[in-house]
Amino acid sequence: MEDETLVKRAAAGDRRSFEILIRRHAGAIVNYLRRFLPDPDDAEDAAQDVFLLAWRNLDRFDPGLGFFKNWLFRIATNTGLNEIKRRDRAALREEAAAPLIHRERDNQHDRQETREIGDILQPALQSLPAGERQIVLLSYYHDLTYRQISHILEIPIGTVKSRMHKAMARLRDSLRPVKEGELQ
Amino acid sequence: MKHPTLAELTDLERGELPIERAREIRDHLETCETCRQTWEEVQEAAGNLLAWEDEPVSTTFVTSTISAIEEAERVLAPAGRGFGPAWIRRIPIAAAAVLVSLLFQAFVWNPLESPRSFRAIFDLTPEVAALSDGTAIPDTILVLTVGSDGTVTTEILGEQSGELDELIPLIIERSGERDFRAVLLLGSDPEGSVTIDRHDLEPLLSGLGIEKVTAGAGVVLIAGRGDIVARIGVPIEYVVVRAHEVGVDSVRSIVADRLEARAATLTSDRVALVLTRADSLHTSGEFAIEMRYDRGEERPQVQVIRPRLEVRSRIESTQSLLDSLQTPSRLIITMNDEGRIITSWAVLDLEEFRDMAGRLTADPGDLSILVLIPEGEEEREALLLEILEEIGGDKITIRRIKKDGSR
Repeated sequence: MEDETLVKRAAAGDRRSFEILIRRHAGAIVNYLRRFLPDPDDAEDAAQDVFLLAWRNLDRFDPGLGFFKNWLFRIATNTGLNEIKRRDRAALREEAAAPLIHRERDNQHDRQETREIGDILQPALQSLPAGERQIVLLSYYHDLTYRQISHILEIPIGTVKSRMHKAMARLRDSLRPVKEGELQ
Repeated sequence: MKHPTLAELTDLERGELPIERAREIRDHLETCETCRQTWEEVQEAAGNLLAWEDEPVSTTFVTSTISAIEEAERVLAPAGRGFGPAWIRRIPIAAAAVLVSLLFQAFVWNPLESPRSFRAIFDLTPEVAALSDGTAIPDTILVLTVGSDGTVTTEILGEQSGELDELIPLIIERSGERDFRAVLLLGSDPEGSVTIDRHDLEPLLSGLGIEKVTAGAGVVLIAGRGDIVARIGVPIEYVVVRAHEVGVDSVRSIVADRLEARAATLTSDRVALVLTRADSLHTSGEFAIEMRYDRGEERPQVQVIRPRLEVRSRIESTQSLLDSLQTPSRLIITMNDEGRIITSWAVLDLEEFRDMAGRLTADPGDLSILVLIPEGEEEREALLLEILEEIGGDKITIRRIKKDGSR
């Protein structure tokens, strides 16, 4: 059954239909948030918020404006950004520099220890500004076009492009060690 | 042929280049060693990204999410007539009057984006949340009270009070354990409006890590005649109104309900109500109103006695607009009869608006401006657009929305 049909039923109060939608899209949303949030362990909690908000706002979903999944990504992006802002504010109040240095050292340590691609990509992605990171994630992991991303994030397509270009320039630099053999 | 830029190679890798240009670049890569090396690096980065596989979601995710929804629904189950769930009506309604100031712009502008700390309020109260006293205010809100002599007090300073600019460093210093997301400014000046405005708050917002003031950025804006505490002498009741969901009539009804509940102990016959959403599409334009009610009536008759501002532009078709407003970086403006610019958080003179908009365009790629202008007001529209062009040139996106919601 198509998402749009399930959404209509769910909006009419059919929780079972919404459960199917959750099962269908949980993987995409959770993994998007795992890569978007500084701490991947927060992803499932945040994803739960995403589905709660979606459920509460189903009547606002307009299939004429895009796919349900893209609407979920929009909510996930807002949820993720709020979580990042919350963390940033908290971090500002701590001794800012020291923990960051430790975190970077930890990251380097992790890279040497695990040599798994996620351990390399996670810090590389986290080093990007959030606005660039979300575009890379939506483009590469969810295979969305610049136009679709523009619609989801409600920003001009030119902004999507410029952020993507900056992000890939940064990633190209930060992933060079991978090319040089760090990743096995 | 000109060497392709890194941006073009990125677009090529993503399949976003026009076919003709993509063909040219591919041909070029056959012969240009330097570009081919860059292209390989782009592909390498892309390949690494694509090689990162999804991890499975925990097996309990779906069931726990459904349980959370059921719990939310249980709490939200309607409990009879009223504007909120039963728990609101059980609260001893502390105040006769209502100072609605409020709000979290993100909250109002984008219900999908409500900060987690406010989730409890948001979820429990689809229309209105009432907090009976100061202790119920989320600890993410810093409450500042401005006295009639202009001095400021706030609970994190204990008994200390003083001029805002003197207190700001102290407030920031003592805010270390709190995660303030918003500042609520209450006035207690019986003669006039609160004299502290957004500009005065900026050093504080900055020091607390609350981001720049744009609609949706999570900053509270606040205004209002502040005679509630002084004249009524009871704790203030704070009311959060999602302004885009309640019209003036329903706000009037809400206020009447509150007054009715407290009729026996009221000592004032005046209620100040301030809605911060000048552009609030369902409020028929009142930006700030003062209400009077007659305690002699069986049910308080709430009457608007002083519309402080009238926004003429009323958009009838709101849904499409509301849908399009869900972004933290969109600004709605209109202009009133006096030629003042009305934004979602303030009414500004042209110079103030120039100053504000100039700062907002620091990150122009992220800002778009919606201009609401009544039909037949071409002169006003032209003036406004001229100002915007002067401020932002081609750096900002300007969208004009007609009365029927079309663009």
